Amino acid sequence: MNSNSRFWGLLCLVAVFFCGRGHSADIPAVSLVEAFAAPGGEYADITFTAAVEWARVRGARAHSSTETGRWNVREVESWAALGGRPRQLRVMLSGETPTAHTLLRVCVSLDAGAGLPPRETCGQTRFGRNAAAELLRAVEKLSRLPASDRDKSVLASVYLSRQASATIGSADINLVRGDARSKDLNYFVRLKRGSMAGMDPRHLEAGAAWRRNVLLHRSERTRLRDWTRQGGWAEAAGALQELQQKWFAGHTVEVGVKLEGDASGENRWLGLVDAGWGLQSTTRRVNLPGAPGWFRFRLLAAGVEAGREQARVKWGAGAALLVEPQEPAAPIRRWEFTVEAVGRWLARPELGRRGVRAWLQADAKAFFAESGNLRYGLRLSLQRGSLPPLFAPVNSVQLGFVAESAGGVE
Amino acid sequence: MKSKKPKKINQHAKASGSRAARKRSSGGVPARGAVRDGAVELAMAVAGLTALVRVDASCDPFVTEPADLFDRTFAYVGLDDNQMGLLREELRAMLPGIAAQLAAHSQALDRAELRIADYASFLRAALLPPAG
Repeated sequence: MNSNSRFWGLLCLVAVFFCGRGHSADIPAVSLVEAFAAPGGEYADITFTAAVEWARVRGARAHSSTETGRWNVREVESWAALGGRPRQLRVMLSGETPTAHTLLRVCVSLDAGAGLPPRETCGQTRFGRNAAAELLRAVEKLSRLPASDRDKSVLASVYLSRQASATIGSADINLVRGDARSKDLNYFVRLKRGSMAGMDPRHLEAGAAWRRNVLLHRSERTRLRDWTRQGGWAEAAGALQELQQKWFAGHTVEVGVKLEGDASGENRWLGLVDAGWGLQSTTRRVNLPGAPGWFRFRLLAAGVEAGREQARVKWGAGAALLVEPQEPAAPIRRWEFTVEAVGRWLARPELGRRGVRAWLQADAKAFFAESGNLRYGLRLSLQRGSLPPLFAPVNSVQLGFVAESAGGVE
Repeated sequence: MKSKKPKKINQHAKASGSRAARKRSSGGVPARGAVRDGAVELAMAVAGLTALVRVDASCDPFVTEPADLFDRTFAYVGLDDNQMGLLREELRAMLPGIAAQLAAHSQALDRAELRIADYASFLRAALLPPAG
């Protein structure tokens, strides 16, 4: 009898234990706490490892301390969810933290499930009072991208294949880097090279360009700003909707100098002044059946390239289209299409050539796998036309593998 | 502020002050009104450049589509480096008090691969009052 009682008692305890565990909800941990002193009061922004439902928050408490670890209670005035940031919570503190206190610890109590007491998750930070230091920290965070992204934009692809005892290769490099001291000034190197006639644009250019962006639709933007400042959110939403209907967001002016050369060694180098004016579109939705996406484009409405013996007028356009099939079992997870076209009218003959010289490059990418922060796929590239300084004719189609940053959630 | 030892009683009732304060908190506190961190301006500026983002600022807190907008990169919502320059111009007009900081760090800011939350952290830091 006694052994039966013990057996059933133990079984009941085990059942209660697993029932309790089965009903408990996962409590996301605090991954970051940032504390600030603002005109509206002192507050701490808490970032969790996962999204937190507002309804699960049961309370918050805070303590501040000196470096020696003498913790004092800080009164929590309120807490609030943050727009667009489901992993964050803002805790407003009452009063001021004593000057000698440099540490802040915040605990948030979350509902753990039916019948269970709330569970706390805590984080700690150093209280930042120096606005300049906070700004520097934020800038350092922005700069912490991988090297290839920090160079503003790098598009480098190299194709290599072996066919009938010949090696066929091509390189397409577009490197742009901003000047650290001068805003709006960029340095660039662009190379397009092939190993066979008909696929070798023989194009290399390097230089510096100053670029200025100007927004369009001033009246709508002014209304949006004014209503945002005044808290007229319904009116601001109307102004925002008007802006999203527009095709163009702004225009750009670019002025620079560049050196054009023949990458394959014919020793023809030209120094040119390059200026252009263009229009940049907004990004628009594309609603294909079962495959939503977006597209954007830009126009080079007018440009000139002028050197000692060269005078060209140029124009062009570029567009990008992205489509992501919604079907989970779709073999291709993402399609990207880009096209760049530029036309140049040679006002003065160059190497016996006059008239219009056009260049078209179209790429199609199909991504079929993602791993970590990278996606993998195939790229088909079409090049047709000619580029300065030699205007060698090109008509090529290339196929290769591609790996790119996924650009999604960190 | 008078220092107190942490108490063993339920700290949450004490920390949130009165029951009235807690009720206000649980209903959603107008944190936007209390703290200006540039987040709604950033969301509005992004939405003005791409139709992939929607912002309803009439709610508190404001609601975005995608819901985790700030966890995404600008490239994810369809922006490229060219449009990032326009974004900075829009923010310069929306937040004229930090126009100098936006211009000074343009090279770090004009990149579509940035996470929107990191850009928001920059705005929040730039909007902090100077020390002293």
